[in-house]
Amino acid sequence: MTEELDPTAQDSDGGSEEVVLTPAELIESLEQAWMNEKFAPELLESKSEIVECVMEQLDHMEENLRRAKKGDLKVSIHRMEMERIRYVLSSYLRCRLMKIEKFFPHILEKEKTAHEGELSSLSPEELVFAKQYMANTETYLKNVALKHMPPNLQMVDLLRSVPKPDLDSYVFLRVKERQENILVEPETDEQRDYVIDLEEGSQHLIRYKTIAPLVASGAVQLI
Amino acid sequence: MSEAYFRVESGALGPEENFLSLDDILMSHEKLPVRTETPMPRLGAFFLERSGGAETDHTIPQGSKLELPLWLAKGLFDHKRRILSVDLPKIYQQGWRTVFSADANVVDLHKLGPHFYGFGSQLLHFDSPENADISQSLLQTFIGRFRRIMDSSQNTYNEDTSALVARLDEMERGLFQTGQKGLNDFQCWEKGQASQITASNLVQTIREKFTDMED
Repeated sequence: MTEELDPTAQDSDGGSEEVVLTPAELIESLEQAWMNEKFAPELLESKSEIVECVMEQLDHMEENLRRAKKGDLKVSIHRMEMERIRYVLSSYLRCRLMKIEKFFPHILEKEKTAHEGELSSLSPEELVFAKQYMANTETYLKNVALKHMPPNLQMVDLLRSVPKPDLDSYVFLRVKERQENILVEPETDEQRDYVIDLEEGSQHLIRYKTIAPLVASGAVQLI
Repeated sequence: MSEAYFRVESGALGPEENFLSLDDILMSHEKLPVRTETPMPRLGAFFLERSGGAETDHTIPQGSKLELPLWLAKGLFDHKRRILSVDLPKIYQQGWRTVFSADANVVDLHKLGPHFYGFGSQLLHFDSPENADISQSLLQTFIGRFRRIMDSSQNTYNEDTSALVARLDEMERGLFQTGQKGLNDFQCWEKGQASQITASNLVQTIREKFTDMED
């Protein structure tokens, strides 16, 4: 719907990317990133380019609507769509923030030891947020409890005390690209490793650890 | 995600309990019967009936039976230094295991130890020869009881559930509450209350506290 009624907005996409997305595809990829983020137990890669493009789109739509004449039915429908897109975007960002708050020592540790070629799972603002959150938590624990303890007990190792994300939790997924030879590890001692193929369009319930790289590459969609 | 406070969930069923989880702290406070393997000097002041008396510097002699909480027993347990050896509590031994395998639904797990599953999972750290049987028995007990918990949590809406919850241990109660919450949320959505904006729990409790303080 966006592309029919807002042809002027179509040029704003793909400014710095090689692939030019239509607005409909952009919203589709935002929704997919949102669903993946909601159902994955750990923090996924930060899709800041999608976020930026969507914010640009929303600004353009806002401008167009201000110029349109009042009382037009299209204006209210457009506003409704804008509210919906804004909700999806903020829900995506809120979900990421929740995971950052929950797993902050492990995420910051991963950032520190990340190699140069790997994509970061935090945008620059999220990194600042995570660091401040960690500093605040440490200050708080120190002032409330630790400074009253005997000197050799005054450290708390946040990396060990905060629970790690549970990569063994089960997730539902839909396969978008055909995959072969996925190695599934046994859950109990009696089973052995076995290999499965994932057909396109099929839906599975499987441990997150097995398909984590596929989610990152976009070959499967969590539902 | 609409919660203001994310509680740290219990990790007791996994490899290690979570440091910051309140449920785990309560669980590891339960007592475990233990036998000392080396004499412990000066601890007899706490356990007066077991100590050697003032002449021996209040030592707890070797081989005496004590009841220690799980966190202490876990900290002191070590293969090399042999400070403690752990006896299994009665409910994890063979007698009760056959009771559970007979019919798991009738047992009052709350009375037997409100943290049956969590405590049992952490007991496996003490390398008893019965570990495989204990873990199998825990798993089978849970499988036997789960169906009834799921059914009862999904089908009691706006009723008094105390009779149903009385015989469940803490982990099962958590499951029951999750089921109830899911049911309540679904009913809210059906009635259309999901799109109404309500004040968050945190704000409501703070408002109550302020009105109490003003009186």
